[in-house]
Amino acid sequence: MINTATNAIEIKNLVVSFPTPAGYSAVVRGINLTINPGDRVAIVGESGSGKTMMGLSMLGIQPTAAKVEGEILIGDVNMVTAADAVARKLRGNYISMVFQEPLTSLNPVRTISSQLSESVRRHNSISKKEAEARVLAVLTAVGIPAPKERMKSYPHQLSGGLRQRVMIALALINKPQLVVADEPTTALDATIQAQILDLLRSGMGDAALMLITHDLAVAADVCNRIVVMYAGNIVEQGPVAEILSNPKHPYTRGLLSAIPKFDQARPALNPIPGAPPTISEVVPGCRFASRCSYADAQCTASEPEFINNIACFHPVTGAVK
Amino acid sequence: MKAVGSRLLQLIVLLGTISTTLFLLLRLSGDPAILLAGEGASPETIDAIRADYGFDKSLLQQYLMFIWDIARLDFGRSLVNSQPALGFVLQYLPSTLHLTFLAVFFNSIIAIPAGVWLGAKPTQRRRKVLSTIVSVAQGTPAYVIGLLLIQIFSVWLGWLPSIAGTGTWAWVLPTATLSFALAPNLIRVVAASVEDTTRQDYYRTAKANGAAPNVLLIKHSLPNALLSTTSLLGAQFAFLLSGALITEYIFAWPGLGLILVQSITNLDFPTIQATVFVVAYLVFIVNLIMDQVFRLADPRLRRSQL
Repeated sequence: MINTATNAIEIKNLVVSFPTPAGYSAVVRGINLTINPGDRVAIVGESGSGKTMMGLSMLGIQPTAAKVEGEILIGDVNMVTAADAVARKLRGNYISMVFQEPLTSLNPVRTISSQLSESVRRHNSISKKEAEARVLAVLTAVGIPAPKERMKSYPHQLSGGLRQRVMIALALINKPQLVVADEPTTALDATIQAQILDLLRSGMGDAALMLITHDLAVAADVCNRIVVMYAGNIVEQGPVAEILSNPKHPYTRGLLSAIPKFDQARPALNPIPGAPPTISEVVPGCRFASRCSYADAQCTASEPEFINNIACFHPVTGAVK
Repeated sequence: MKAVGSRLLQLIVLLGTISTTLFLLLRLSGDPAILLAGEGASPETIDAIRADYGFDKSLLQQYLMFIWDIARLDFGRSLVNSQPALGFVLQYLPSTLHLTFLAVFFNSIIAIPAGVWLGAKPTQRRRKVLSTIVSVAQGTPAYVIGLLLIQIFSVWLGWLPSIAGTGTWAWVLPTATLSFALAPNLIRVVAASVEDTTRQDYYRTAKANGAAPNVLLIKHSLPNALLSTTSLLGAQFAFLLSGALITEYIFAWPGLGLILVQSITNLDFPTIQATVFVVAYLVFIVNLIMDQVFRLADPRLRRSQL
């Protein structure tokens, strides 16, 4: 099968673009990223930074209008150019995905058991009975109480937290090498969020995790590596401790100082001013420059390259106060 | 059971409203005795009818009598052939049911696959096919289609009979006419429902788990799409029971539509009343069945199990 001795997935110069009246506009603008087996990588960025599109294109399930260029290498299969029949064998088997909305992401007219069994039997030639045993095992593993009864349930009969556990079970059932989780806790209330984060932290088995989130606190909680995206580019990456204690990119610093500090008597909100450029906006130079207090003439003249884990002409040092 | 109860209440309200309207219409259109007796009747006949129907009593008394009769399913006798009106109307029921089932069946086996084909892969060309079919077929009234079919298949080619009861194949043209009238709407709704499912999150989930296109269609799109189509099928069924008037008339199909047109022409009030009641009751039954079908097909409507 797939040779994964070296890495779980390797993304080279990935560009995802959509047709606009003025031609194709890129939402993912040339990303390079390698995820190693068992790695926990958080992709952090605002809405519209291209993180979801990157995740979808890794499975080859981006919207049909999207144009994907570059390479997404799983072993020797390039998901960008692979025939659908080849890519299908990897989806849900080698690489799987957990989505944001657990209610709408499960088929409303089919039982939990039938949806999970379908995926097991698609990728393994086993009997219905064996498949059901696997469904029961994985539902138990993701912490669903009374799993035998829940198997016969329909999605609407479960709570939001249980539904997301089912989604994670669906992602894990074929023991994938990589799970892409796209904002898996955003639609859940706070106490349930913590439980699901626990599950992502300790229940993934050998699978590598790519956690897409806008929340640095969630990223730091679950992952060991943080990749910061801004307007379609990776602007900074590094180990969690390094990013939290010594963020170098002004955008990363902005994200960190935007987290409300509840140890203060009256936590002040510290938002980053302005908004990211729209996808069709042509920006000469750094795409963050217009919102950056460190920007100078160089920043608006040319675009900084991603070197030594950062794409910035004026990296800052020291902790964020 | 609660649903059946509320439907039953609806039926009672509906039948009450219909009967009151009929009662008032009969009185509003002049002296009902003259109306019932028909043109050129002698004064003696009119007097006899007046006494027979109780038209000499007060309006309230008449209304109460009228409601009492209806509650006992006594609609009086047909003015045309003196049979009890309800029994007379019920003779025509099987033939309408026959035509309705045929039309719904053929409409479904043609329109559902066509709609799925159009909706599963909504390419530019398929969209064009869809909009052409729908605009042409929906813009053509049923009687035009019926007459056209008769002209082609009965008159020119002589393949099929155009009058009910004249051969084994007499059902073909009326069924085709009704299917033709109903299919465009069904195709459109099925296509839209199937296309809609491909934009749903659960469809993306199935795709993310490696489902092939045919699995996506059969296991994920169709169960959801056909569920939302069921209500239209029920409505079409109810429509045919009550509204195949023109088609039945054109093909002299001896059903409720034909008897309604005839009894209106003859001002045969007892028969009109009985027909309206039978149709209202049938529509009630169809709605009741559709409720149950939904309950069985959509797990979200079943009583929660946990």
